[in-house]
Amino acid sequence: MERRIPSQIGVSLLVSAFVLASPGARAEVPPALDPELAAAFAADQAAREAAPPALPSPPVGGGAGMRQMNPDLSFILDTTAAWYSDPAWHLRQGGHAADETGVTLQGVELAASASVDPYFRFDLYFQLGHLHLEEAVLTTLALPAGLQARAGFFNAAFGRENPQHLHSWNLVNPSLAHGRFLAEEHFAGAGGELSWLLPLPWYLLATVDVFDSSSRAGLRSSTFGASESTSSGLLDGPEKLVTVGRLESFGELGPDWSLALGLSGAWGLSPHVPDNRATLYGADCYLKWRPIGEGRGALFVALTVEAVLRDTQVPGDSVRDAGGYAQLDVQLSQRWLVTLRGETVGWLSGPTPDPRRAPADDQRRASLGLTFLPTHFSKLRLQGDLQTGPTGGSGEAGAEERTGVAVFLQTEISAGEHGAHRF
Amino acid sequence: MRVHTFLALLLGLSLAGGPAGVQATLRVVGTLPDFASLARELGGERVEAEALIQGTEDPHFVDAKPSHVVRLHRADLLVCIGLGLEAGWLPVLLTQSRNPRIQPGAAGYLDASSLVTPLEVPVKPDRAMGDVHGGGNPHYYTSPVELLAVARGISSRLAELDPAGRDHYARRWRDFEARYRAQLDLWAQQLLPLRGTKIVEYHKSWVYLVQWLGFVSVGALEPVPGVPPSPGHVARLLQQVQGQGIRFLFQEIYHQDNLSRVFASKSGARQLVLPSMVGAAPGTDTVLEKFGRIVQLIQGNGGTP
Repeated sequence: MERRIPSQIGVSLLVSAFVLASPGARAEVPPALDPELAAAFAADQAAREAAPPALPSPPVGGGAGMRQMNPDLSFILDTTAAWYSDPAWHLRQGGHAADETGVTLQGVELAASASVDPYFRFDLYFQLGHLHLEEAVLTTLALPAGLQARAGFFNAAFGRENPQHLHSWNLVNPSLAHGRFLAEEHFAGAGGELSWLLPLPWYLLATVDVFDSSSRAGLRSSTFGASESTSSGLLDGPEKLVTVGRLESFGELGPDWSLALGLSGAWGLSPHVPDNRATLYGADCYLKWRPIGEGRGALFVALTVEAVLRDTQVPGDSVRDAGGYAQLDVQLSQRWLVTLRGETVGWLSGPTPDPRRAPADDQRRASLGLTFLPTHFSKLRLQGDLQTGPTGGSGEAGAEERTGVAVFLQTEISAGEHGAHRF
Repeated sequence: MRVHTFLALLLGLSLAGGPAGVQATLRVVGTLPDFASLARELGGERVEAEALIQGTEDPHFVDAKPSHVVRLHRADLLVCIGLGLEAGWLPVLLTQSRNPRIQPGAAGYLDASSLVTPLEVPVKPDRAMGDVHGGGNPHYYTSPVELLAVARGISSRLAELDPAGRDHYARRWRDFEARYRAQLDLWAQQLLPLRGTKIVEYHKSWVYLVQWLGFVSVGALEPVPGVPPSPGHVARLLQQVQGQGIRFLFQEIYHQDNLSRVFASKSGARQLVLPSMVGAAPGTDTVLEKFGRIVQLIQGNGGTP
């Protein structure tokens, strides 16, 4: 009975969506084609099919014209100085980590994006600092019925934090839950995505991602992946696919208030025990107040709350752990942003899923960041963290709770034409 | 059970609005409220138009809200400012819109900057010059002359997208142009005595208005576009403008007004918070009302400070 609930809800949602869709949301009914024109189309089509393929057109316009056809390029540099009160112990900082006292190059991102033709656009994000691909993805522009597809190597549509790149963060480090459940950097892989903007007067988007966990391009995940003992390196069964689903909604609560809600799920093989599976559930909420109706410039206050629950199969049992964060961002003026985040991760039940790797047990962290933005293209950030966690895993004898302080000073600059960011 | 509740909340949120609008022939989305207002005036009952941003909102920093995605998804025509002013938010909305009718290059995409004569086109744009735009200053919507050219372009594009209404659009354009030009002539007469007036700007938003008025801009509070005023720059500017007979300080509603008020009083100028966009002040629901309000504010402060 319990297993049927999600599908019932899904069907209800879809039916409701159609029934309640705006009468103003018109179906696309093209005008009837004149018979003479239809005949001409058919004749031209037949001629095209019979003709040899055309040679590529020569470049038009030379210098300036060709430059405008090039992709938008940008480089983003993040450099961070970190100090830990206890260099021998602290919580892992996650992807792009400033994990040791000293200076770290958190990221040197090259971003390129361009329309390919009227049907596709292409986006590339390459991490020059660590020489790895972040994302390389094509996106369709012209599928009917509110559909959009993506293919390539890209970040999973799970939660609010995962799709965001380093320069979109308002703090130096990702949340603890992100690193433990999703990935050190981004939960990403090679695969495809289909999303559907439901035909409603208001925003409701359903997204499904499918990733190949055995791809040579790799799957970046803290939760999924084929076990080493069963990994053939081939996609030899559907069980090696990792599936991600997301439903997100948005509403404007007056001119100054916005509310975005999201539900996410991910299913795939657990890397810890052969043929055992894992599931992630996520919920997120973003509430923003920005008094644009009063013409008050850059001022805004935003609250983000995100939680993740993981359920991992182990022989004869299952393990559950969970975590989340709440983050408050206050943009005081065009140049000053204050960010406060509180977060926790911990076990709920069950044994350690990977006996070889002792998990960091219950962890808590509070962060306060102050960001100065000389312009839209540069940042200087000072952040302090108070972090608490065990010295070892739950299975280790003698584990004790430690508390430490970390301080970060980050600079970020963005040069070139960088693509716009999602809400 | 909790999942049930959350899904119900999601669905409720998505359905918690009012009824959809009246069916129209063409759905027009303007990034600026000015473009939406022009489309309504020029399209009449054959057009349903809405804007992505409000007149009080800074068009440089707009949230790429999902609600904008929905508007763009249903649009037949998008009219945008261009010249890179919307680069921080419009491209992602266009990709997410899943609407091939309004992608760049399609008939439903109208970059209004292609209809005007850009000013302040940098020879070699560089970010050291601030947030400058390679194609020129994008704030042409502060000039009634440039917006008339935009209006003509919108009218033509409406007729192209809706050929059955060609006569309807032509009739409305003739009526609009006649009213608009008559008003322009009247304002030109009224403002003639003020030609040569010197002003200071907060942001370099007013170059097109200044050109139309025949005024002279002697500087801006922002040291370079997009960089907030610094004490050193403001002090130098104040020194520079002393004794020059600066009459006005022009600024938009979304910029802080404390500094400009003090600067204006110390320089002998009058601070004017002008509606740069339709809806930026009460009673400015159309383009003509907007410029009428601008003229009124300038005339009301036209005497010796």
